[in-house]
Amino acid sequence: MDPVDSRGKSNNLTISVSEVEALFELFKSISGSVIDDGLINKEEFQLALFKNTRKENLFANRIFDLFDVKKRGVIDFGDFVRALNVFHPNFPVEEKIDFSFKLYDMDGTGFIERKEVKQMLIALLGESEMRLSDEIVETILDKTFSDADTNQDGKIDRTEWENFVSRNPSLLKIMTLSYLKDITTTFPSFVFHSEVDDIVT
Amino acid sequence: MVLNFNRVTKTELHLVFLKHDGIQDNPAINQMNAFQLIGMSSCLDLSGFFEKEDVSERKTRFASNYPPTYLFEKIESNVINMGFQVQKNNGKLKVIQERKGPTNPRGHGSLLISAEVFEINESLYVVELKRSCGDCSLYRQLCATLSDDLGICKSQQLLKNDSIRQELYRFNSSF
Repeated sequence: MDPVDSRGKSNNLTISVSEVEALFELFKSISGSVIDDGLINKEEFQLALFKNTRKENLFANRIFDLFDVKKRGVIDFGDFVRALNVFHPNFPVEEKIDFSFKLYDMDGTGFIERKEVKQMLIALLGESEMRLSDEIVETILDKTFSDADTNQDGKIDRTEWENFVSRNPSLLKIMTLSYLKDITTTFPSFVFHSEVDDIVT
Repeated sequence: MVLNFNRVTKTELHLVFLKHDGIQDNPAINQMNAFQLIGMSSCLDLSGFFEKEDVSERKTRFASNYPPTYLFEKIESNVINMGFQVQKNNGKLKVIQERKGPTNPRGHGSLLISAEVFEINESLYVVELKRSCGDCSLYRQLCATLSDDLGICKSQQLLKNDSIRQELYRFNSSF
C-alpha cells in the first residue's frame, strides 16, 4: 500500500497494521467472489453486502461510487481500506460528515436537493414495504427542510448539513462500523496465517 | 441555574435543556426527519461485509398506527409469552435471554433483540426490531407476529392514499 495517496496526501489511517492485514483477508474474499482479479467490481460489492446480486438499488450504487474514487468501475485494496477507514469508530467526525454529505448528494451537485431526498425516502419505504401517502411523504420533507435548509433555498448545502448533523448526531450512526474495532478477532484466519511478528505491532 | 451566556459551556446548556424537557431522551416524542428514516435502510448498512446472513435477518421495521405505550406493552407481553425477559431504558426495549448454567453461573442475560419506536406523526409510528445474537428463526417469528398484530395492514395503507379514498367516495355516492 502506498504511504501517500494519489493526491500526495499521507494516508491518515486510524486502523493498525494488523487490522489492515485482517481487512486484506476480507478484501480477498470479496474481490475473488465473481472474478478473481484482485479488484472488487459492482457485482462483487453487492454480493458481499446483500448476499445476493439482487436488483440494483439507489444507495448501493452511490456507496460504490464513493469507494471507487478513481472512477474506474472497480475498487482496489487501497480504495477499500481508505473508504472503510472513514467508518472506524475513532475516525474524525468532520470526515464522517463529509462522507455522508457526498452520499446523500446523489448527483454530486454540491447540494442535497429536495427531489433527491424524496427519491431516497421512497426507496426506503419500498424496501421496508411501508406505504405512506404522498401527503405524508411531503409533510416529512417539509419538516426536514424547514429544519435543515436554513436559508430556505430548497436545498441543503455543506454548511447547513454540518449544522443539521450537529443538532441531530444520530444521523451519523450509519457512518460507524463497530466491527472495525475488533477486526482482528472477526477474521481469526489472519492470525493463523500472519507473517507479521509480534514485535512489529 | 443562573447562566452567564458569555461563558456557558455546551454541557451546561445541554443540562438546561434536559431539565426543561425531560422527554428529550425519548425518540418517539421527537418526530423523525427524512434522513433518520433514510438512515434505517439496509442498503446503507455496511455490516453486510462482516456478517454471513442477509441484513433482513438482523433488522426489520414496520409502520403502525398504535401509540408507543401500547406498542411497547404488546411487544413486552409477546416476548414474555415466548419465555424471555425484558429491559426498558431510554425509549428502547431489550429482549434478554437469561442463561444460567456452568458457563454462565451468574445468569447474565444475553441481548437478543432490541425494539425502538419512532414517530412520523401523532398517528403514525415506525417500529424497528434489531437482532444482536441468537436464533434467526426466533427473530423472524417475533417480527412476523408483531407486524401482523401491530402493523398497518395493506388495505388500510391504501385507504390512507387520498386519491384512492376519493375514488371510493365517488364510487359509493354513485349508488
